Amino acid sequence: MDIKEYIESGKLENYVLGICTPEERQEAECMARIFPEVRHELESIQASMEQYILANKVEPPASVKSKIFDAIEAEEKASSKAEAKILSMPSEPRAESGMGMKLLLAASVVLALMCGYVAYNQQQKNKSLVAEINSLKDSQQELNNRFTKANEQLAVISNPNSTHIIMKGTAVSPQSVATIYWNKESKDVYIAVNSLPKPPEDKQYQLWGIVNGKPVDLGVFNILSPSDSILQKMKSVEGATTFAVTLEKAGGSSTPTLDQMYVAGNI
Amino acid sequence: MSPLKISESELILLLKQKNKSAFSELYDNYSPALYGVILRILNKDEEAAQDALQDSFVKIWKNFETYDPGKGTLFTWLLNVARNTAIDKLRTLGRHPIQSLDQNVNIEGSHYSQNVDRIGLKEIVSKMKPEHRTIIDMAYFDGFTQEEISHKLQLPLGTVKTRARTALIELRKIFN
Repeated sequence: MDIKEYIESGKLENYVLGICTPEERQEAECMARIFPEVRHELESIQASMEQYILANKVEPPASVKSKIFDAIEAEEKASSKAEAKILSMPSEPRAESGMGMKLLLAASVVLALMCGYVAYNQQQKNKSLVAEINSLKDSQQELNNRFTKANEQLAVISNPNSTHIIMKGTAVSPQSVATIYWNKESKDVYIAVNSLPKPPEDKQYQLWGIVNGKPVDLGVFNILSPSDSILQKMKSVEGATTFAVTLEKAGGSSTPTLDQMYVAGNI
Repeated sequence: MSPLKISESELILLLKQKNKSAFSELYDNYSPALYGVILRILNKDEEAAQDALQDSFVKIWKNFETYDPGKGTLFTWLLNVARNTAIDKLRTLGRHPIQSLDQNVNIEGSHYSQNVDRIGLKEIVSKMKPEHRTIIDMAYFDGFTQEEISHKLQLPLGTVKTRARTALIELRKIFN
């Protein structure tokens, strides 16, 4: 429960109205002691309740006041007699007050522990809220990144200078498809893997451009997870007539292994 | 309350030293408010209310050293003493609040509104929703527990809690 939630729970009002359980009373007193906002709220509730009580005031008969003063004077006489008795037995009251001090100390220890417990709970709650906020921040950051990437990819695809070349599967892997987005102005090359089998760990796919009948290395690429970007930027090329992908040793080869050609497409 | 002749903190200091003229001033200043509360709790039984008022002030005199200004205002402390004394008195008279309510009250507090006879209170009452006033009066003046209020008004316990809050928010608006 956070402070706002606690204030809105009605527990403070119930405390002021005297209808809370002993646990709730303890909690309210501890919360007011720990959190200034709670204390402020509690005082404000008490102030309006006191106004209401004042609106209910009734002048008591004058006789009550004199009765009270008679009673406290009688009380004083009685206690001064008791004091005189106590003076004649000095050991007993000391023991009593020692006991009283112990009880008082015990009570304050209990109170401190209880307040400590309330504070601890609140702190744990705060910690878990902070953790939650941080994880939300992280996922928001991730979504932002993906959104930015997606926009960049959309810009590549929708660029009027961009040529789309669909590379279809060869006899090695008839089901495979990959797409090249090639900007002939900037010469930038992007590949989108539509469908390629996952390569063995020691192998990587390599893209080639055929320029003047000769294969030019356009770099290796991995199969990305769906949450990553769809397009991967490859090496730039000019004057290519065909694009093809072969499966090579990890890191790539200097010449393509032609019997491991998975997809290919002409301009 | 009439304004105090001396500051509240001076009054508290003097009372802690058992100063009788400070006590006299405390009585003059706070007894009407406390008596009003006690009378309400004791269902206008004036004799019992005067006894309870007397008991309250004797307790206040005797136990004043236990008052801790750090924990709450003087008025709140005095009210607690008076309220508890009156509720105890009600019990020793064998009139537990539940019984008296069974006999006198139709649900939703019609009886509370009928007994209003002072102008200040009338104004407040006219501005407050009856169900809000009922919950404050049942809790504070009749000393019912949440469960008892829930049972009497046939409301879920959670509603009692939230209605108490709404009622006090309404009260706050009226006085501000």
